[in-house]
Amino acid sequence: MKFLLEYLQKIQNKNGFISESDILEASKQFQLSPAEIFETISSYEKFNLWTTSEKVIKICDSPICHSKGGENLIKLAEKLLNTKIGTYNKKFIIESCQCLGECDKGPVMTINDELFTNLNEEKLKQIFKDQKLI
Amino acid sequence: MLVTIDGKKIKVNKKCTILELATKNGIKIPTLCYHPDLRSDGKCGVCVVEVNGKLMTSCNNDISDGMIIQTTNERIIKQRKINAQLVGCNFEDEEEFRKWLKLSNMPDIDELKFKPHASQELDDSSHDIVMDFKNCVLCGRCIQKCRDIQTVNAICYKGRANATVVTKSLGKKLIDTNCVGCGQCSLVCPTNAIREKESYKEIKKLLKDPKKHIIAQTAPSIRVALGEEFGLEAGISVTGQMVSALKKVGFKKVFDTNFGADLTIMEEASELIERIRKNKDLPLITSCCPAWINFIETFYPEYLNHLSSCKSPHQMFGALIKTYYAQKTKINPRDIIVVSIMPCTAKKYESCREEMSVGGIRDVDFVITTRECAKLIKSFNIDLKLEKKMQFDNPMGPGSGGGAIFASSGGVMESAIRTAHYFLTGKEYSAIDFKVLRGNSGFREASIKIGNKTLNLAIIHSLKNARKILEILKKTRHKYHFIEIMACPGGCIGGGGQPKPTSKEIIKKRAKASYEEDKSLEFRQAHKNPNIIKVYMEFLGKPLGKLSKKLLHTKYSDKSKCGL
Repeated sequence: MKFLLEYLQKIQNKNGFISESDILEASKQFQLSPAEIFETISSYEKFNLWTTSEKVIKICDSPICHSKGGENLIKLAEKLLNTKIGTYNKKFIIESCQCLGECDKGPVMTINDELFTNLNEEKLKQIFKDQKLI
Repeated sequence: MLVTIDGKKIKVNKKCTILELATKNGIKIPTLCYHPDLRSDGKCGVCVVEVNGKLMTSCNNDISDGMIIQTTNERIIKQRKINAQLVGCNFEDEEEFRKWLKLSNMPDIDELKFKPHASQELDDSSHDIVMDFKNCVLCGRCIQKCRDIQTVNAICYKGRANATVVTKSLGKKLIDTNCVGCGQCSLVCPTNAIREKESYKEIKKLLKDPKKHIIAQTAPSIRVALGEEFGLEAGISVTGQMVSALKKVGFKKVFDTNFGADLTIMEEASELIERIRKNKDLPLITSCCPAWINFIETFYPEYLNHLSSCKSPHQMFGALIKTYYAQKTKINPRDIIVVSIMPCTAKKYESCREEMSVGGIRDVDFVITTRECAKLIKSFNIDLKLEKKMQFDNPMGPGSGGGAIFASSGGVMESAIRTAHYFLTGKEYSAIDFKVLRGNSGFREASIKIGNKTLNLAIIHSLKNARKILEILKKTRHKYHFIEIMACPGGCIGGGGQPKPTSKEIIKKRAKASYEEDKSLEFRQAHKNPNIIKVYMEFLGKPLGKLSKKLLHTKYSDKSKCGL
């Protein structure tokens, strides 16, 4: 394969996350150091790094979503799920993330690869219920 | 090109950046992330100037014909202050931040109004380096050093936008990464977010214990750099003052690691001759540099047989202090504490290695860097400049000029050839100075005729070039006979534990000082040093003899971490 991002995307689509051994394999294929691949992965919010949780929740916290109410959503999500941003368990991992490229529909979040837009508190509660998180 | 800077018209022939032009003309522009040896990315934005009415970073923009540059006005200062506040949002201690700004020629800022977004735990898992990203300003100098100059890639960025942090490869602890401990990151870190793991406070406590016999040994490159920490210009040798200051601090004896360097030369030159005779495991590669040892152990373990089995000079010296010196002075070696003052952070880990002890007694107990040494001396309110000159202690020392030049890249090679020439032909080389072996390039090659044999030599500094030569070796194994490799740019004088700032210009000055020291000495070859001859007669026997092998040689092992 010619492009690193394409390669990483295939792994992400297949497994839902990119593991340490995937990084090492990619580093051999593309003649890059693992650190550089790690750096690339970490700057794209749509990649997940070796998580074992079933669901990966990412709530956008970049300036536009933040000012549109994303800040409160994060607090609410923490309260609803009774956890803190950045922690994970078997069922889910919740993170705040940088821009997902959907600023016009903000605030936004993703659960695994599904995008949820124009969020408000009501909507967030409903989504969590639909996803059987609460 | 005609450029107007602050109303002054200047004719410029050579292409340069706006910052360089301003500095040349005596105009001070504040900088935070700029480093003369590294690529300027214009990250901090503190060096903004107005070019034809537009704001522009001066460190990474070249001048062009007809440019009208304004280096200071109200708008520029306002912008600089905002940029500095953004840079400083990670700082925990506001006072410290202001102090740092002052050092960088920055006007004082009003308040720190931006809050940090990402935080990381302090990482002190490594033996050499502490990473405390509380004060990180994301200048990225450390990553440039680690990635572009050392090709180790132990640190990297993580995240994007305001979530960006500098972190360790794959988010691991430093000890689990490929870090070789060279400390170049700590040398360029402007805020001490990355620093050496300090142990001088422990030594300070031990110095009060009357039962302990504490000995200091100082590396050849300390004397030409320590003065900088006390406000002296680069390139001034402070050998005598340093000895006297260390005596005042409370060290019972102060020895010269040049003597250890002489021992290394005696052993390594003999090893070179033996390998050439047997035509086995050539080229011989030097093993004085512990960061280089870590590098070959992790990245190229298949070449370990090419390494010289010699310990590094300070380890050899430590081993002799705990045996020969202990016997001579009738002191229990367990009561002797050897403190090595080194320009290096990787030596901290080296001294803890299991291979570096004989019979359960460690050769060297503590290693402190040049910066720590200055802190130790300063904590006793001693001003190095005012000290009287004193001589190093006997019976082991002083060292020869061959040991003195170990400080700069090419020194080990030069001294080894001086001695090898004598061992092979029984005669001294006609000129003691091997000019062909000196220079600043990171990859130098030379051929020298000894007797009827021509030796192909290579001198390498910085790990980028080490990688290059190992890749060459994969193809043409037998082109070289002897290779010297130093991990830090410039050799030990540019070491990771040296005073800040260190740049190519400063390294050149330090190198000059160490070559001058060599010239000023009576004995310039290790094999001529009467103290060395005495040690071999009284104690060690001969180079590569049974006792030498036990005390002065070691083995290295494969430590690759699957390329992490």
